[in-house]
Amino acid sequence: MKKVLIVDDDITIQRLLEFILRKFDVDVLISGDGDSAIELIKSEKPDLVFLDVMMPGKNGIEVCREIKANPELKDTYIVMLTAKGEESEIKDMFDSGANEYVPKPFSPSEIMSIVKKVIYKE
Amino acid sequence: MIERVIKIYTDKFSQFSNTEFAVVDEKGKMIARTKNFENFEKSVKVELNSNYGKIYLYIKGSSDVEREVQLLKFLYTELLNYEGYIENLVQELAHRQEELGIVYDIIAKASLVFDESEIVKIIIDKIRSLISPRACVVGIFESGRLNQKYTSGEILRETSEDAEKLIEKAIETRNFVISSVEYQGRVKGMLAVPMFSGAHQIGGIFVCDEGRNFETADAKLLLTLGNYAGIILYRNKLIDEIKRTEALKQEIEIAKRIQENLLPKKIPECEGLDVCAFIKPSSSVGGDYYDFISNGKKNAFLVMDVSGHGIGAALLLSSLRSVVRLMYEITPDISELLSAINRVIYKDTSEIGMYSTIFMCEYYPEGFFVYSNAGHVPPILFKRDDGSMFELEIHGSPIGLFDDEKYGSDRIEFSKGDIIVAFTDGVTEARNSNGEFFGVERLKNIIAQNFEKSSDEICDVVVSEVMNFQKDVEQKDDITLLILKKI
Repeated sequence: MKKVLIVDDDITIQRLLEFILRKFDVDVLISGDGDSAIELIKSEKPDLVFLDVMMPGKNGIEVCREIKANPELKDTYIVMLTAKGEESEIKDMFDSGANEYVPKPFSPSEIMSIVKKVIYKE
Repeated sequence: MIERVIKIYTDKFSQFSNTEFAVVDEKGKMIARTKNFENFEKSVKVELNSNYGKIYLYIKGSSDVEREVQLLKFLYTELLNYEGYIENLVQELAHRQEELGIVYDIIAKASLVFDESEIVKIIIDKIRSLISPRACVVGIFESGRLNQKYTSGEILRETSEDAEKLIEKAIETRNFVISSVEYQGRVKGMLAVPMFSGAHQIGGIFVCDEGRNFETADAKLLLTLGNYAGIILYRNKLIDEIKRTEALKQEIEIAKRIQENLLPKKIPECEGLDVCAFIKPSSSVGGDYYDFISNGKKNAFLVMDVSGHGIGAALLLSSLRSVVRLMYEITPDISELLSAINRVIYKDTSEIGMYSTIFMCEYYPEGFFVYSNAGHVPPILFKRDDGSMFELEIHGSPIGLFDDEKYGSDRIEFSKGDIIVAFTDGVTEARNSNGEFFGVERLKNIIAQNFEKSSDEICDVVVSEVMNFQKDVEQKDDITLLILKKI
């Protein structure tokens, strides 16, 4: 089964994304910080990662940079989640290798269309 | 001016000396002479070099003519040098006066304006009147990046690139930068100055012109202008921030009032049921809410948590409250009620990314509850007979997330001493200074240790434990509790 990882320190966002992802036949993995996210990506090799930019400790951009620099994991599809007002970080996000970004608050249809595109190639 | 000075000093010298002499410019024109000087016969000619060209002294011989020549030569050389120094000072003074004029003009005009683009327009107009460049760029830092927000004149792509490089260099050195390039066979002069307000980097100004290089005097003027423009733009930024903060405060106040006014004013009388409800809004006001509804036959209780904060959350909350109350009158089943509410609300929320969780339960005095859940954190059920605890898990997405969501319901037996604790994530996600969550387990422990108490007392213990846990850490979310106990 395809795996999707949610990385966000905000439990409300974790829960919201989980509700949306439950609409699909995928394994949902959840992480609340950058370091454990990297470990999960290494061990579980998810097909798709929703990665929050602003997290205490290692932030999303640092996590993305580390994953994309790893030859075994560089193809992991990473979607950055940004809060309103973080638009100035868009360049940093893409420089870190992120595939796309979704600003918060996001609508379920935005998340669902990414899942359909990345997991089901629709 | 120099001729006038030479005349005055020649008169003065003649009062202290009997030497006859005259001062003549390089064209042969006599500038001044002593009263006793009648002609140039038998006079010694002395050449003096000055900023005003050559000056000649014609000195009539006397017994000690050599000494007189040396003395006059020394005096007039000093006079001419001194005059040059004075003239430089006068020029400097004129420059300062011009700078003061710029400062006064900018402060007088821009201090009455509170719109950034208007302020920059005033600055650009001043630049045009001072140095008439072909193009002008005002770059301002926004979110750490230099945005070339305002331009005047013809700005080509390469001009924009030059502007960025030169402004960055000017900011780095905190001084003006003059540069020039050959452009289509013509020289293109460029000049950039930084804009600071104290240690705060505000941005920079860039000007360019074809066919001329900028002078240091242009640069100094622009630097002065940049200094004051930086201060005015920074002042404007601070005013904007204050306005935004004030607007936010007002919004929070309005949201707080909406939230407070919507809450039920009193706890309903329910046969065999001890009810307590509590809400502690956070400083930013979230979208927590609880309600008691009756259709005349049954009593329903609900806790909801609307996503987001401020007026947006308060408005959605208000609309949800009305829809729930209205539909409870006409829909007999609470799972159907949630499905219907979702269909209504989804149309308004789907595109703006807002949603709400709702836990709803109906009380039957015969001794049971029927509950349904739209994505809310599962409430805890405490069973008095064996002290067991359950989380009332039943799947359902938050209201407003999917248009086709169908909600289910479940029934639980509710005997004497049994307790339901419904809450919002502000309780379990309260953090301490180490970043740890209060969590569901702590909440369960409190229930286990205080089940003999009334719903009010249990609520007090939970709230005080959460507050003790958070200590000085800011409360990020509303804290809401609904406690139902069978008596």
